Amino acid sequence: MMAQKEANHPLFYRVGSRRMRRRVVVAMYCSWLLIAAIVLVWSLNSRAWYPAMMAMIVANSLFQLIWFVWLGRTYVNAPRLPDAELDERLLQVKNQAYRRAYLILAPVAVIAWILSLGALQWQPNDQGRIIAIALVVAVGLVAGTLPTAIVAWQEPDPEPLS
Amino acid sequence: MIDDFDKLSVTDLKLRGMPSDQILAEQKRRGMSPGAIHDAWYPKPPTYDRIGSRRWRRLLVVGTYGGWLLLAVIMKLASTPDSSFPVIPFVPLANVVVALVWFGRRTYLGREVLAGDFGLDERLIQNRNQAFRRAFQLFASFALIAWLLSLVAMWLQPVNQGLTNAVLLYMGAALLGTTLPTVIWAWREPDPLTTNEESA
Repeated sequence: MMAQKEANHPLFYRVGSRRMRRRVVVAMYCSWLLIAAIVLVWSLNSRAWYPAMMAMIVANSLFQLIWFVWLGRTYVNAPRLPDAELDERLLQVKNQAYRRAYLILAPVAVIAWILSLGALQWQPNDQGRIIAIALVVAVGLVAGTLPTAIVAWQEPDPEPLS
Repeated sequence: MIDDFDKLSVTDLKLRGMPSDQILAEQKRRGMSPGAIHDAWYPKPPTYDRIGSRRWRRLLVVGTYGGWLLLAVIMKLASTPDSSFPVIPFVPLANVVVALVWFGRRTYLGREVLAGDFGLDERLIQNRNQAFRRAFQLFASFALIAWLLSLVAMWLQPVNQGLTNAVLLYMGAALLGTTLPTVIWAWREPDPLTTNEESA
C-alpha cells in the first residue's frame, strides 16, 4: 500500500536525466577534492590544523546536505529510503548499489587509513594531522554518498508519466 | 559401440531404461569397487554447494572472530610500551589465517563468487547483495569510528604505544573489510537442502 502510494507520487520520479545526474556526481566529488586541495595548500603556510579540519568537515556536511536535499525522496535515493517504499526492482537496485559501493569503499578505506597513519608517523606535526583528517573526511564523504551516487549514475532516464 | 556403452554413467543407463539390478550387474562387470558403485548411485554434492549447516557456519563465525579478538588482546597485553613486537607480526598473521578459513574453501560463499555472479541463482544473488548491504552499513560505521580512535591514539599516546593501538584497530577493520560480507552471508544462509528435499 505504501509502495503504491509512493510510486504514484510525482516527486518520486523527479530525478532528472542520467546525463545531468552524472554531471552532478562528478561535480560533487571534484568540488570536494578542490576544497581539500585548497585547504591542504593553505595549511602549508599555517600551523592551524583545527580550522583546516573544520573547513573540510563543513564542506563535507554541506555536500551531503545538498546531495540528499536535491535527491530528497526520489527513487534515485533508494539506498536511503526504507524497503517498504520500494518495489522489487528498486530493492534489487539498492542492494546491488550497496554491493558495488562496498567493493569500492573497503579497499579505499583500508588504503587511506594506512596512508593517514603513515602521515602521522612520518610527519608528526600539524601537516600530518591535516592530511590524516582530510583522508578520514574524504572516506566519510564516500561512505555517506557512494551508494546513492552509484544509483544516480546507473539509473536510466525516467520514462515520461502517462 | 561397446566401448561407448562402457563409458555410460548410472544416470545415462537409467535414461536408457535399464533396470537397477542390471545397472548394478553392469557396474560389477566393469570391476568397480563397492565405494565407487555407492558414489555412482549417490553422488556427493559438488564442493561448490558444501557450505555446511547454519549452526556450523555460525560457530565458525564466532570461532574466527572470537579467536582473532582473543589473540589481539593477548598480543596487546604482551606488548611493552616501547615496542610493538608481538602485535605487529602476529595480528596480521591472524588476519591471514581468518581470511584463509573463509576463502580457502571453494564454496559459493567464497571469494570467487564475491567478485561476480557466476554459478549463483536469483535467490543467492539477492542474499549476497543483501549481505553486502548490511556489511556496508556496519563496516562504514566501524571503520570511521575506529579510524578516528586510531588517529587520537597516535596523537595522544607515546609513539610505540599509540602505534600499537592504531595497528590493532586497523587490523580489525582490515579483517572486517575482507570477510564481513561473506561472514554475514554465511550467518544468514539457511541449512542446505538434502538430496531428497531437492528432488521433492
